[in-house]
Amino acid sequence: MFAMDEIANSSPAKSWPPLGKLLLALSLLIVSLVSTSPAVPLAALVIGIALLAYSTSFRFPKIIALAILDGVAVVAVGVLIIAAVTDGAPAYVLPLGPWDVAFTDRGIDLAVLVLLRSIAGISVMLFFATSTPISHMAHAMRSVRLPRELAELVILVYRYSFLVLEQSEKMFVAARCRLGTKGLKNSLRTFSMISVGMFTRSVDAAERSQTALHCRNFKGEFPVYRPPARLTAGWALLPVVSFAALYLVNLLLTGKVVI
Amino acid sequence: MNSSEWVLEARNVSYAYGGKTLALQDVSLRIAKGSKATILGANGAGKSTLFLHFNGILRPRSGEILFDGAPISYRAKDLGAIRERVAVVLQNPDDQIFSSTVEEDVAFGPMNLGIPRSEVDKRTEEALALTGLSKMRERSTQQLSFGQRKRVALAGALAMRPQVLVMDEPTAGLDTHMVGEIMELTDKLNEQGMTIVISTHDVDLAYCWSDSVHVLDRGRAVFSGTPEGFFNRPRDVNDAGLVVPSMYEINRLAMASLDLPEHPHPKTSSELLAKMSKCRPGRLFVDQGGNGGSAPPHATAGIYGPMHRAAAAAGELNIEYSYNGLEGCLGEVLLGRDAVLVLDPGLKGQVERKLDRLDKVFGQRIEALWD
Repeated sequence: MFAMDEIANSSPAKSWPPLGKLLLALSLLIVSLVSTSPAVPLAALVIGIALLAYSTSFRFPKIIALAILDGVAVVAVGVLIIAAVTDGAPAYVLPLGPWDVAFTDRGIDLAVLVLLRSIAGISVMLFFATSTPISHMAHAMRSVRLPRELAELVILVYRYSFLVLEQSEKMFVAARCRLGTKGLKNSLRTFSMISVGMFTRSVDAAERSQTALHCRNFKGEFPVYRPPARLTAGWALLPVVSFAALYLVNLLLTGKVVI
Repeated sequence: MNSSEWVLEARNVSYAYGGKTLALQDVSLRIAKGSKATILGANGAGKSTLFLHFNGILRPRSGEILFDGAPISYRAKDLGAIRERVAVVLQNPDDQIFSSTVEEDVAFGPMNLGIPRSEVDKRTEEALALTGLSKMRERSTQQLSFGQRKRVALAGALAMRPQVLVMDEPTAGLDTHMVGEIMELTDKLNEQGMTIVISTHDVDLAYCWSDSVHVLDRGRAVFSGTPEGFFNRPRDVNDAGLVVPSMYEINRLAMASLDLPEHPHPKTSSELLAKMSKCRPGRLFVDQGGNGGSAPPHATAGIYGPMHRAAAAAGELNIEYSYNGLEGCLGEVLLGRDAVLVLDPGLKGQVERKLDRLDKVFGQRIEALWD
């Protein structure tokens, strides 16, 4: 969590309009979902990886690589199942002891499409996450007239999740020092005690934070010191153009209009 | 608003949490403008509760709080004005850091004031520079050490440009160097006219730093006056859950063993040395430019102020006393040696007052050569 926060705050794409980035990510995600040709999600994947690389200054942090590998691992299991259960002529048979698992040609096509769509989706959303600090997200929420309270809640939850995580880590260390994780029974009991402890500490922390906010003349809004760029016509058009271009590619390659 | 020599005053203030637990009982005390005041007391004495009355966060059940001679008004608009003038820094910095980056958190207070952006930038820059955070302005607040977070919390308060800075246990959890830096900063701010109020358990700190101490014991104010006036009464000190400061006790025992009067009471090592030394003092060269000035090469060097400390860390100055430079240099001088004190701008008055005290109270006149 800490690493992602640091990445977003030092990203070269930090000052791009957050709404623009979100719309771009969503348009690439949606066009790869609605297309039937694997070329489109492949293009979305290439664009997503390029944006992600730029956003992380071409230094691929371990946490990003882990996030991608995590996602791919989960999806890989799914696509294998899809390839095996989809109707069609068997293209490849995998002998597994007493059973034979047949991967059909239609299944393989669909599996490849699903895999490409998933990884493309992961890469574009990671681009958004690694280039947009939470304060910018809240700023964007306020700019589209979402309730102010929601934006402030997002900031506070984000801020205090780090503190809660830190505190719980310390409590776990303290518990381990006192054999709190020795054996399953102890571990479960310790975990539940820490959970309860964290809840009560959170209530305390909330009261103290409210006092601190009053001390600093809080007016109900967390102002952003260096706001990101506003959504311009160019940025509003970019997702539309990207979607249209990739959809046209799908149309040319498959001849099908998908609604 | 009336002008008064007392910037903050509590008159018969009582307060109970939840209407039951009496945290303050009939507390009366006054803090002089431009002074350095310490609220002393054991845990649970009511120090933090009192602090939250000073900026209107808590409202007394009975009694009143006065700022600059006038009772605090609890209307929302007036409370905003009070909190601009009386900045409270809480003990735990994590309770008051809300933003992702250092500069954003420091700018939080000024941005809430609705002042022009240029003024926000100016105040933020100043606060970052004062607390030595300029180079860390874009760092994430999650990744800071405890001491760095304390500095961010302090910078956030200073960016409001308060008249009174109230700090709850400012040195708790800090290493000795950081304590030295924080207290140097309070000296600098006080020199600029800011009233500083701290709470602490550290009686040694309270004794050497404060102009006045106000002692709370189980919600009651039991003493207001000079540090010597309180620590002269060991029974009261003990009843308040405190101990006598080391320097006070060393002086008492040393003077008793030498059959000399306890008074005057030295607050620091240099004052004790001034009282006892029979050497002819050396010379104190005060260098405000950081380039050595006219000091002889054999002179021991010390730093007083964060600006020149940063230069020393960069290897630009050859320093024996990177911290506690004033005391270190005065000690050398009182032992008959020459010393050069590299001094930040804004701390000249502190040095002058110290030399004046050594002369008038302890009879040691030190030749100071200013560059």
